[in-house]
Amino acid sequence: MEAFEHIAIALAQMILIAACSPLVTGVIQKLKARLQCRSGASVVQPYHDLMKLLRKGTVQSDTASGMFRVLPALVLAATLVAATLVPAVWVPEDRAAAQLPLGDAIVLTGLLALARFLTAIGALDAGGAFGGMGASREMTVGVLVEPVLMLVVFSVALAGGTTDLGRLATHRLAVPSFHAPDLLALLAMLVLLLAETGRIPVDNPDTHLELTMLHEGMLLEHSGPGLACMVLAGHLKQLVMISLVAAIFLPIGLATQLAPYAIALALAAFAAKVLVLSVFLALVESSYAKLRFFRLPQFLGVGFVTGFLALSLRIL
Amino acid sequence: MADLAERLGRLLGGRIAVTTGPRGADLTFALHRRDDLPAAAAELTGRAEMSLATVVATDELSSPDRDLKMRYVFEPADPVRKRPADRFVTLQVSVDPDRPEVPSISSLVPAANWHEREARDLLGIAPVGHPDPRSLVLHDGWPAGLHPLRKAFDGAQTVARVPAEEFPHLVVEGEGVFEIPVGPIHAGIIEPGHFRFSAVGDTVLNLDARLFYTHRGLEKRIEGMSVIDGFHVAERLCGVCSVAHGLGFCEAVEQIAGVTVAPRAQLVRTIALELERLYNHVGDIGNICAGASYHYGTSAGARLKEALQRLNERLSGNRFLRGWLIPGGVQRDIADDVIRVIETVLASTEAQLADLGHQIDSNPSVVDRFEGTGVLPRQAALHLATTGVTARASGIDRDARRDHPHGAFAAFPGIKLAVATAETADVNARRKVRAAEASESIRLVRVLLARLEPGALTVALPELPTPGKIGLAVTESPRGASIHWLRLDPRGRVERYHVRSASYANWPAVPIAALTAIVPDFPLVNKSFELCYACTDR
Repeated sequence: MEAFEHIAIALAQMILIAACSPLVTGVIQKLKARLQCRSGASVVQPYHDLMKLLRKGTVQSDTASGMFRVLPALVLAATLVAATLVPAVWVPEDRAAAQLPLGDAIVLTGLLALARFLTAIGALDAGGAFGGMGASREMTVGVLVEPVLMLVVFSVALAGGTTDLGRLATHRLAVPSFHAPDLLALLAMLVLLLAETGRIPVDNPDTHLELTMLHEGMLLEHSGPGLACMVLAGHLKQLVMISLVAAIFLPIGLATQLAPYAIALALAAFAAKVLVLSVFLALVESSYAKLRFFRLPQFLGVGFVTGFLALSLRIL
Repeated sequence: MADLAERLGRLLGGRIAVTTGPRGADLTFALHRRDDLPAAAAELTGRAEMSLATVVATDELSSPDRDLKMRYVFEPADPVRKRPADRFVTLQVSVDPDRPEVPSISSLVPAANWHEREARDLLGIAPVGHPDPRSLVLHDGWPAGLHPLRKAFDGAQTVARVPAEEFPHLVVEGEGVFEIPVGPIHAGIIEPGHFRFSAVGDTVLNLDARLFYTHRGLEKRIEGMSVIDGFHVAERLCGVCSVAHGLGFCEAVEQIAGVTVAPRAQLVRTIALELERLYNHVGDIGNICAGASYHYGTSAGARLKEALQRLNERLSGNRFLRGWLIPGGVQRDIADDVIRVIETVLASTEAQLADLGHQIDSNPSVVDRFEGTGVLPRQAALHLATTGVTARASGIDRDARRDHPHGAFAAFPGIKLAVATAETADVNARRKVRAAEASESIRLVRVLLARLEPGALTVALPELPTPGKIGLAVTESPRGASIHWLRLDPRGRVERYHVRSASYANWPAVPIAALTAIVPDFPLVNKSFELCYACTDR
């Protein structure tokens, strides 16, 4: 496999994820609305919102430094790069042939942490009370969820003998395994998914109550195209996390060749997997209240313990 | 109660004049010396076990007395045990216009805190020795020495802003303590209020709330209006307690005029009062769910409230029931065919409300947010003279419908009310009291509908009522007792109108309850009180 071709496919997957990510948010919002007996906005509403923000001007806090304007682009860039690493549709057939480290799980974790760090820096830079509060809470959550992601990645990596997500997916495709460590890792990943997508019971993406905000609090000072970047990065991160769960635990349907029928099948499988996980998110969001902030460590602790058990069982 | 007059007279060395009024069973003690006020207030709130209901300050410079007056109105603190429950005791103090000062009673009666500051801002009567001398109603930029409720102040004028210093919020200092300023403009579409949190991390050390951003000077505006015009202003003191405020104004007018409202009108008014409580309580339960981000509950509450508001529109022509009442009776009747519609809506509300309560109770993630959050200790609730759901959830058994009967509760003594209380004093207690009261309102509306007999809807008001007579009416709004004090001038126009809304009495309790919560739980605590800014600010 040509390195060039591999890069082109990774970029194509990134574009696919980026283009679809607002739609996924729209679908989740629609599902939530229907579950709550509301008609809800159209599934393409997030695209309209992004277009609206891109047309608007930017208002910046007096206390913000010049960095504040650049940060949204950096956050979006870090998340976009993270999107290239997840095998959404296609994985190289020949493991040995894929020499490029396009898809390393540790790089992915690092990029997501980088985006989180940059978002928090931006929130602090603007000098608003809610930004600082949101940043402090987001970093508290970050400290609790990042180890979970590492534990899950290591537990599956031990079985696959690699931390490359593409190769992990092909390995799991070839050797499907649903033993205790896999199920525990999946459970940890679902806890992680709720936390990383900023959804109930961890955060409430729909709230207008400033004092309760985590992720939204950090976006309050952004406006116009900058806010569009942050919002798009949020959509992207959500789909990246969903794709990650799908790639590790449901690799069925991934294309290994570039034949049109295989790609079409893989796209359909990807859509189906994303829809399943979207339904999961919408169901959880409509069935539970947001956790009291000081209870979050207990909830995320469930993720940590199951992730840790998954890894321990794998080693033993 | 004769012994109360005797005791007070002995305590104050006879420097006191006792009269009955404003209503038949009430007592008014005019103190000869204003310095006797703290002793008299201490006696009333102490041995006489009374609680401060309202304070009314008036400008009577053009009367023969040529003074300003402060009237401190007390009511029994424990109406279940203390009889008669429906008796107000007024302490009246004359204030020298050349030295407009009264001794502050806030240290003895914490509930007087805001009242005294309001009288200083609006009438320039300084409470000497007040523990918190900051301005309350008038905000930064209002010229000093300009008091809008003085008769000499022309309400139509435009007042130029003067440069002002930043409002001195109570500040907590120490390592790691930071301030979170919230509002008055919020991210959501809600009324304006400024909340200054002093916090360490997410733990609240102190909360300083500043309101009165929507002070519209309605008590000034209403002066000189006819009672019909005044009624329309009273109905609009706030959006969601229109019937309670309107009914309070009507009953005060009717008291002064000495007319008795027709039985059918009394029943229709009380149906309106209960329907108002019902749509508020149902919507508020949904709002409490919104505070905990429990989306199902939020949507269910909004849906139920919408059905009730559509019923409101069908009955009165207004989703907020405005314009249904009128001094002397009601403007619209309830047609027989509409009764069936009311019954259908009530039945579906009852079933769905019970289901929502069951959904909440069986969802541990929701109950965990509600339980133990925002506790308002009973003693604090008593000291601040809180009312309504706020008081009842803290174990205080008071309800103006039973204790100060009005509407059909006065006209039909056979209609009994079951007062719901709770002991845990947290968000869940306030939610449960609301749910119980909503069910009780549904039952009451059915009882009231069953009693409807054909009859007149209005009685004529006399052209010129007795001048100088005071109307004092209490109605139980969805947020608690709202107390209306009204006096008409010799031309039959409003001379002074004062409203102590339920929210006014309850707001000072919110920062106390917030101390037991963490910063992200404050919106939930606030929603469990669900107080109104507009009728507090007026």
